[in-house]
Amino acid sequence: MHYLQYRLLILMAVVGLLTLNTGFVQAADAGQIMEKSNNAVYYAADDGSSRVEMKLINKRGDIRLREFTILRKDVSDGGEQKYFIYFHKPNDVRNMTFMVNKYADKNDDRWLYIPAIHMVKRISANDKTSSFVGSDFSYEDISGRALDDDTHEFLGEETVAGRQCYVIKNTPKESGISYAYRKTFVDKESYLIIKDEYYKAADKLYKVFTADKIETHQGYPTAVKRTMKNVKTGHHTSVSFSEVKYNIGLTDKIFSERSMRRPPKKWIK
Amino acid sequence: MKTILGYLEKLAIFFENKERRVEKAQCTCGYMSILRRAATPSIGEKAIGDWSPFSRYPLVIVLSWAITICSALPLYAEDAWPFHGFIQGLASLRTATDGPTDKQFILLEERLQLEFSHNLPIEDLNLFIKSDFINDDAIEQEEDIDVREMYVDYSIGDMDIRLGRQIITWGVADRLFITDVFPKSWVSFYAGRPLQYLKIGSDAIKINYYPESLSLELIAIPLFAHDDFPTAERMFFFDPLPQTKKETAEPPETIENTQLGIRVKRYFGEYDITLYAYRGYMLRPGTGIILTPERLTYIFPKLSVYGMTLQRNLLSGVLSMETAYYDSREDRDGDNPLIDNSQLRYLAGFEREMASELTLGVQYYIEQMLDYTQYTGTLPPGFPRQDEFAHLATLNVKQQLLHQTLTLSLFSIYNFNDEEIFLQPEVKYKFTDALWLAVGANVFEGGKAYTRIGQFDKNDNIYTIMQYHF
Repeated sequence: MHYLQYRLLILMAVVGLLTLNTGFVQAADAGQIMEKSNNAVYYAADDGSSRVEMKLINKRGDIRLREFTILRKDVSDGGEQKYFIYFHKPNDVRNMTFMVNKYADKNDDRWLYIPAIHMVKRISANDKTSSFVGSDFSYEDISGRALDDDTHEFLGEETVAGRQCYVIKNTPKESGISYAYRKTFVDKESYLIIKDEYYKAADKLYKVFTADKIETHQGYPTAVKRTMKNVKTGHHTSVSFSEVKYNIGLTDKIFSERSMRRPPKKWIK
Repeated sequence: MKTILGYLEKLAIFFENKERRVEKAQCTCGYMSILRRAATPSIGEKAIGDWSPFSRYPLVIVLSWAITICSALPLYAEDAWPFHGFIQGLASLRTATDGPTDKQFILLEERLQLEFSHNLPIEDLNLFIKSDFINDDAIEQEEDIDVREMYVDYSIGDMDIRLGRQIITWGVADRLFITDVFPKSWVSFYAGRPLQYLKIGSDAIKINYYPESLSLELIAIPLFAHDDFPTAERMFFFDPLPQTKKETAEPPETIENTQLGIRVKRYFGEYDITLYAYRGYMLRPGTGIILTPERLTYIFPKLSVYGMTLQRNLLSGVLSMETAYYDSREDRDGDNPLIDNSQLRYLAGFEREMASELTLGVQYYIEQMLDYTQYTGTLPPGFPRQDEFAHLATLNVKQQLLHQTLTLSLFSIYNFNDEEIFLQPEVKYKFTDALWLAVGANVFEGGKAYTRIGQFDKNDNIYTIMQYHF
């Protein structure tokens, strides 16, 4: 009897450990998947450039257009990055440039060049969830969110748009974010985000990101057509990337005040 | 006939594809004519009297139409169209009732801004022209061409050279000027013109040199230009001697009188630190006068400025600090009451996004007059006496709504010394990417007839602007 009880105890302990262990592995997996995904989405290659056309479409179907060239250089994978954005359209912001030094552990440094008065000014960067140029994308949706800012939970696997995806729940650790959590669908093959559902409290769907077209450029899978839709207002933003190039040898000098005042002709056409 | 119809149809489709730009231009022109109509009774008979086609359609209107139609014609590929700019209608109506009625409108203008940029055949040489064509009905029907900028850019190695008329902006302060010693337009500021009109171009040569993590700027301005004066025919302001004839005397344009500036900027990671030095003139009206029994002559006393600014991220916002020493070179002892004394100026500002799309900016500014005892000792009796320290604060609140199509903003300056306030609320709505409308006001409250803000009390105005960009 004693012996049996003893064996039972051991069995229970092992089962318990196993269960705990599985839970632990899955949490780690979720984090690893998001890390790989983050690298694939925001840190592909060492640098890159693209021309971006952003269509802001309201419920009535009225279209507003933002067209810009974006240059990116990674200082370290998953860490510090530099961004340079030159606006081609609309006409009232033509020639405006925007530069960001993004850090993993502190607020971005951001500068804006206002062509009408030839002024470069530092601008505040508290607006993690503020809209980027009036679109449905936030600044964070454009340049990524630090992995440590969320807890990651593995929910399972699902097929989305014909692709096998991991489903991860990402919950922000801090409050004051415009959503409660994101349900992220990560492609098992490319680690690109195929779909991202933003939920408010009480599991209420608020906005949805979809990667609508994926192309491989120089070996790097790239979502060249993307949409962010606000489910509540019907407003949506569709983005297309063209002239996608990687590893073009962008130097630190390009990410400077000089470029903001006089965009480098080699990269900005 | 069929070909013509076919062409017309194509043209119609083209117009449609060009985001119906003709319609929008029409809308802006229509808005301007509504403003003009509404203003007609107050601007006298001149406007209604003469109906000849040329006076009825001023140059700006004719040009606006020409440019809009040309831009929509299939003459150029979409991205190759070389002209950009906007058509603007602006009316700024004085709300104070205690002035003569012929000055009811401070501004009533139609404006076409044309911007032209061209790569010259020589590599790295670029020509840029930005010129305004203006029709102003506020004073009397007056047409004007204002070349705001016209320069050639040349780059060689780490150096950029810009030669010609150009707008130069220094400093980090918002709408207060410490190291920004370049000419400004106070009429634009106080009557509702968009912010770009606050600055006036300088005829200069500017060299920017960018060695490792440093930015160096050298400026030489051989041709003199001062701030624009609020003229008595447009605005009310303090005039200590209203009966005396006024004149302005600009310094002669000689080699020795060339204004010189140097700016050195350095990035220390999260800090931007900049040093400034300038040798030139005070450009503001009233900083120096010569008085004879017959006339009062406004002069521009010699000035040197040595300043420093710092900007950095702080508490999820941006901290800005700016300070400068103003060396009044023609009144170093401070005993000439007709020339401004030397000064020290200090400013600290903080800007932060408080909530989604809501930005708040605050600044505190101190202006210290040096040699104050000499100033009080020599000030003629009856002249208003300034304080040794002037304390000012500004507030700037901006809320964007509806996917940044609607902007509510308020800019305000408070002067603690004279308990006076300047308020500039504005509502701006973007109908499309190309067309926006704004309604705002400029309010001057408190103070006295001779103080910074109080002297403009009779210029309280509401304004409306419509702009169509192409």
